[in-house]
Amino acid sequence: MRSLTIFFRPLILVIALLLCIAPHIAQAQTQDKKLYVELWAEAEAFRTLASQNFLTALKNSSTPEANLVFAELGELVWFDQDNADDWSIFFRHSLVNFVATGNEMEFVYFQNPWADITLLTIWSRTPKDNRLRIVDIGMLMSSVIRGARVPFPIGRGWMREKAYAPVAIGEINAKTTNQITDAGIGKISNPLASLTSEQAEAMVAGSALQWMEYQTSLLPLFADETGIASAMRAAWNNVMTAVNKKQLANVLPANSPIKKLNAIDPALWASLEPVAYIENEGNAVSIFASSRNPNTYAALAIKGDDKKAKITHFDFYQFSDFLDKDAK
Amino acid sequence: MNYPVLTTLGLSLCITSVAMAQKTATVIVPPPSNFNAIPTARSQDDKPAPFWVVAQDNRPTSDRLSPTEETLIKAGEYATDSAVDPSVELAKAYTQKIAEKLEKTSNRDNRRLASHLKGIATKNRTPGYVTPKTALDKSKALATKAADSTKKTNQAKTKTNFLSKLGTVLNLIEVVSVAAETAGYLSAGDTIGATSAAVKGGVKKGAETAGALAGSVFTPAGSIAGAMAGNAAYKEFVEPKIEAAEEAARDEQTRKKYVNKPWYTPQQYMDSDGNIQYLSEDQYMDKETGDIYTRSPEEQKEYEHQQRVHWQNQNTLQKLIEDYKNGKLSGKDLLDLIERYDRHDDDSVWDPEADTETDEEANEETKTETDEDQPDFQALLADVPPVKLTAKGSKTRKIGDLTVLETYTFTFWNVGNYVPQYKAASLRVDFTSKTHNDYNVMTGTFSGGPNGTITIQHDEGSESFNLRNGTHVTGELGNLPISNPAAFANWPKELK
Repeated sequence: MRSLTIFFRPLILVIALLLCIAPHIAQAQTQDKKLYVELWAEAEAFRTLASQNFLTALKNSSTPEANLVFAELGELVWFDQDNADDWSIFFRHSLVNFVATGNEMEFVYFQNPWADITLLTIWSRTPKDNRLRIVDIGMLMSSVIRGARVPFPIGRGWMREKAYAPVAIGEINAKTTNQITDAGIGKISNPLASLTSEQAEAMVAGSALQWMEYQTSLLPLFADETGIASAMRAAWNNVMTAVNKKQLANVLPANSPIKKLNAIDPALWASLEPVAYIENEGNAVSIFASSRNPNTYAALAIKGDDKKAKITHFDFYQFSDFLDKDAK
Repeated sequence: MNYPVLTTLGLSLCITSVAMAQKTATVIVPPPSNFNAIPTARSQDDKPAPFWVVAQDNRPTSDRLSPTEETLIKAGEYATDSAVDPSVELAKAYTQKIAEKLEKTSNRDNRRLASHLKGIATKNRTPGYVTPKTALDKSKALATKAADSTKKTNQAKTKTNFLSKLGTVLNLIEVVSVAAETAGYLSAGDTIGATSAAVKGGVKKGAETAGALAGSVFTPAGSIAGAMAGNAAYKEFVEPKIEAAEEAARDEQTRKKYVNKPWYTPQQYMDSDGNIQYLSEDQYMDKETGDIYTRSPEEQKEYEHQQRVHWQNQNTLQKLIEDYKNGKLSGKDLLDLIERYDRHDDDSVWDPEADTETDEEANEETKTETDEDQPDFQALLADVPPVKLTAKGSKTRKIGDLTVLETYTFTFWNVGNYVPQYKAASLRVDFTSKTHNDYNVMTGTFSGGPNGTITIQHDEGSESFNLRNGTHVTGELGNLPISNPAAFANWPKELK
């Protein structure tokens, strides 16, 4: 295996290049519409394919050089040599973010708000067909994108917010998104520009730990754990059953937007997968994100214990809604 | 059975969409990863040189369930008290994998992790955050506990399912590091001021236009896409790219003349140059080593038979689920049929209309066959005293920078299941490296006799090893000589 220092050097150089081109973008003020749509379509197609079959996605959207980096980085981040499935899981709930620059290299960020980590991908045109493809990648802790400095804190940023979990994650993710955009258009200096190769390595290790913490935090939703986690599993079962029978009013609190919830496409309900679980002193909240549309997630809150618990809140959220709020 | 939960299967068919995708564009969604029973290799090919093993399943398909099938059966097993919803099967399997990975972390990766963490100075404890040292210590502790749990559950495999195994882990760990005050806000904060997408009509709009089926549609801030970044843009710009990729995959199948083999799933891998390639239809990859092998003509024939049978059975199951969704089949009937399917001979095409045998009939038939056909083993084995045997062998494995010696020890009795109290068998695997020593014990059964079969249960199913002429245990672990071949000296010819 190549050493990490060698592995990350190109990425660091590319980030430095970003600093050089950022003022140009700021002057331009706007992004090229055609390029924007092209890059968005390529990135979104890659995300969709990658969430189902990662190798098919690579074959379609990435270069062999970048593929090797995916394999190598995957081993470090997922602790798994056979890590194509791990990448798929990562992309299932990741959001696409970028600023189209029109330069030789384009940066596309795949933000995973639940683990609070971000994959930076660099895209360039392949001479033979002029299509944009991934040429290099790097893994970042999103806290660093938001401006955290050494010593980097390891942990999901939204977990420290004094806010209801679905709101906390929406707001923290909006900060990550807006930082990327602001840096991309030259409005602020890019916090990644000053990274050393050692710090880039540290971010990979930190991302690995955050991913592991994120995944293990979900275990109560899958295990035969007693207590309020058991009540949460039962509550989710009840909600899903009620959705199917159009009887949400029977299980949700009186102030729930039943009509609007009933109007939601069944396919969206069916695509929800658990992405967060927190419990504290008889209260618990679980969040389910859509693998088909990771912009959307549902929060279910309950109060009580495994013998008697009631649903106190259920609602849907969209990350994009917090962008507007954050901008204001 | 829990029928209210069964009802949710109608919703849970996002997993079905996985199976459907397999049916229409088989390459798009790979089957879940499994412990592989790798057929005997005829030869190792010189080319191509594999680098990255694909998440593909090389097991004979007759003992593999599709995601849909697994979902249905698992839902039937424990939906009554523990399943969140069948639609989360994929996430559940992955989370389990992460938990099990913790064990490897302590043995293999923490040294590397520790060196990487040098770049991160320790920070004073902040609510909600884990310092590098805390995180490292925690991952070690988690790994140890996960390993303990795995050992225990291996021994009780037949009585437990994976959920209870994870429960054991959960009793011992506290993963989320967050101050109580913060947890309070997160779990029961102010919901009134929350930005509710449903109240704003966002989800409805999202579901109908840009949402449920239209990719992420997360419009980056400051973008110029505006209204274009909705469903229309997705359909116009993204879908064609996805379809083109799927089409390319189908072309691959056509080129390889798999048109007449709709059951065949092309197997992908990445070679050492980073190119994504397809294996030929008689090749498979050993996920442990990354080596590519070619099946012998006999093995290929059997493999194709299994693939075809499995494919036909999957289509049958899929149709039943569609019938259930369309109201042509009740939930109870569906579950009954799936239970019958579960009982059928894996090596044959299942016909639900012909399979009308009741539980009582099946039990009676089995009982009759047993009574009439079974010879008097006790009399035949009168001259064969029960002898406890072992078979040992070892392999050296390179894991990253670490060299690990794996020592395998089978323990079983010569008479095995011919005398039921001696049917127990076990496989102990000792892991020895410069820095770590560990072991794992898995239990199972031995059928008995000089050519009997040892079946060992593990987390993801079972693995079989054959005793050859009373001298060696053969299988994926190599040829392991047994401790006392004389134990079969007087073995009766009437028994194989």
